[in-house]
Amino acid sequence: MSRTTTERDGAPAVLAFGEVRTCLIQNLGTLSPSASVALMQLTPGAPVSKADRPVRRVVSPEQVTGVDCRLQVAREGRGRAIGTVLSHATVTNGRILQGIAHVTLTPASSKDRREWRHYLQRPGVVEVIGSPHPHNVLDGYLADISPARGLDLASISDRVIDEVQMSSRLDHTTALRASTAVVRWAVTLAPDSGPTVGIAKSDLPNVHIIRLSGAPDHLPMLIRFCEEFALHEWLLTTVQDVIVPRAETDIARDRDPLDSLLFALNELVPLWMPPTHLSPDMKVLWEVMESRTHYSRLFERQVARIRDLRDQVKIRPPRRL
Amino acid sequence: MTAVDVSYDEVTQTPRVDAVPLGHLSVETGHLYLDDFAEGDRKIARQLEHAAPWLEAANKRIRKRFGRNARISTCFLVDDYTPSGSAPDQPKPAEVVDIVTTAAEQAGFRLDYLAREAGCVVACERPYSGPRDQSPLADIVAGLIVEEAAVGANGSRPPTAQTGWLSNGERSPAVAVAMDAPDWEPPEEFGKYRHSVFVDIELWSLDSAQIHAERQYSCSLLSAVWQLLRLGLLRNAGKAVAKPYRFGTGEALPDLWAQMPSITQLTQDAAPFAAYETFSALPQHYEAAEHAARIIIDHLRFDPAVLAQTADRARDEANPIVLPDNPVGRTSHLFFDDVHVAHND
Repeated sequence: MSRTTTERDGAPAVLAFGEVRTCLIQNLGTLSPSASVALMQLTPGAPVSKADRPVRRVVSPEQVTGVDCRLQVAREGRGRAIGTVLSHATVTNGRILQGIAHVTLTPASSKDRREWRHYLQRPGVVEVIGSPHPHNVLDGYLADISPARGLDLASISDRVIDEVQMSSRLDHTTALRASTAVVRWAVTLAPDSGPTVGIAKSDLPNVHIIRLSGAPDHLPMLIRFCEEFALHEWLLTTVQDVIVPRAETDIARDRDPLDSLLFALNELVPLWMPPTHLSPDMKVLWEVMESRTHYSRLFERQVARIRDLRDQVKIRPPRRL
Repeated sequence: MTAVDVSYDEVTQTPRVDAVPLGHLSVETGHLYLDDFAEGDRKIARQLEHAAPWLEAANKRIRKRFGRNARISTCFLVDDYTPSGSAPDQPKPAEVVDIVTTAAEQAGFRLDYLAREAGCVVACERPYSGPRDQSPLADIVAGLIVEEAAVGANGSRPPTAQTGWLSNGERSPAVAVAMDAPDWEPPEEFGKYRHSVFVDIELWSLDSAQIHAERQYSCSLLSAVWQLLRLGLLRNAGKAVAKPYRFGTGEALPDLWAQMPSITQLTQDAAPFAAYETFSALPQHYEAAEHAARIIIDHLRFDPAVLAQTADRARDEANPIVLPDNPVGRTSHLFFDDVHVAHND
């Protein structure tokens, strides 16, 4: 029944999929560093990773979910995926919560399902039985919007967010009403491929789709790139679509907009910290992305607009304070 | 201007993993309830007599494979976790240590370590330990369980391990007492060989009378914790747990079991408590819990760093050892029969 195997590295990964959800932590105040660490202790006894600079980022241990399901394949081909999906949460500066689910796909070592221990030896890997074309599997995953019929990384990343938000350590009041943003990504892995990124804004609100490619060694960096993109995208959207319009409406109606303007300046603006410090590869990738999207410049423009509005309010206070 | 290479790293980003001392073999010579000491040393003497020849055989085998200096330690587990009927007249730790060491001497071997079962729920590093030197071992192991995916599971539904049960297959659907009752389907063991041996394991129970009741962990889960401690595979945030404590000369043992360390070292120059292989010689009634423990261990995700560390250490031994990938492959058991000679005493 159970066979001992010594194929710890198994077949090479050909694809990696993931989903990132970004939102505000449901807590009125900013979490202290120790509270962030306690909140990220999703698994007792597993190490929580934290970095203090340039922004305080605390990452939970990886959670593992078993799957054995049909793959959604675009055009043609069939596949069955068996293995485990990893998921974790991150807290940035005690304010922003992200839930990330990710998985890599490799060709299966046998035609049938193996003993469970075999899959637990490579957490975060699903083996694909059948030989659908990777290209079709990737397109199938990116188009498989809820409720997912294939691998449901959306539900898994959602559950991580829920688990954190339901914690008794939080007071469950939000400092600002902002929505959750979703980034769904898929990487094509090939041994000698250089990193590439293609970002598309979906027609669904607050959803972005990213197609990437790279060598298997790049994968951790590409996953981090998607997390950082999701965070910065959320910041830009929140400032541009929530803070500024709301303040403009408030001023027009003679209401005081100062609270949310100051929240943006004090809590959100300092979070804008492109991850170019992480590695030369990341720097190149991020800067190329910037040169196409001008995200930083757009953000600066929004910040300037917020400061203008704040100054306007100071010069001419609204009548209903 | 030449390019300058600057690196910046924070220690807290990648936690390190402690190594633990490892012997070649850890032999469990017995496992008794505190109530079993009510009649003095009769039960324990019989248990150790039973175990002695097997211990000798195991020693021989290990020395033959790994040389005369193979590191072999013996241990004994006292169950102070299962609520017992007679709390006031429970034997004190010092009394039990005396009874056990004497009985071992009479059976012809030395007992190196005495462990207690409640110390497998929460590890205590030293006597009178407080929260600072305790680790919730049972919670840690329960948190490492990854349930086997049912066919069709794509991540949409939460895993059911949170219910306190783990099975080695697909349960039979619940038959409701209603018109819409599904037709009965048999349960099925995942990866079965022709026929199923379906096992459903209770990991813990909760006292439903209390809202914030503490989990009462099952023998099955605690046996898994105990085996993993003996295999040297448990860590708390990378730190070693339940290191054996040796009482100094003149240092008295505490009066209460709860004040004892998880593992007490009884002999001066004992081989390490944890080992590459474990061997347990036990009475028959432990068989179900030990089988359940093996299934639990088969469903755990281990820290890859800990597994790699153990495998590397084994390979670097004077007589290199190749460990199986699966930790269950490092455990062995013997269950005694209940036949014994009638004494005329």
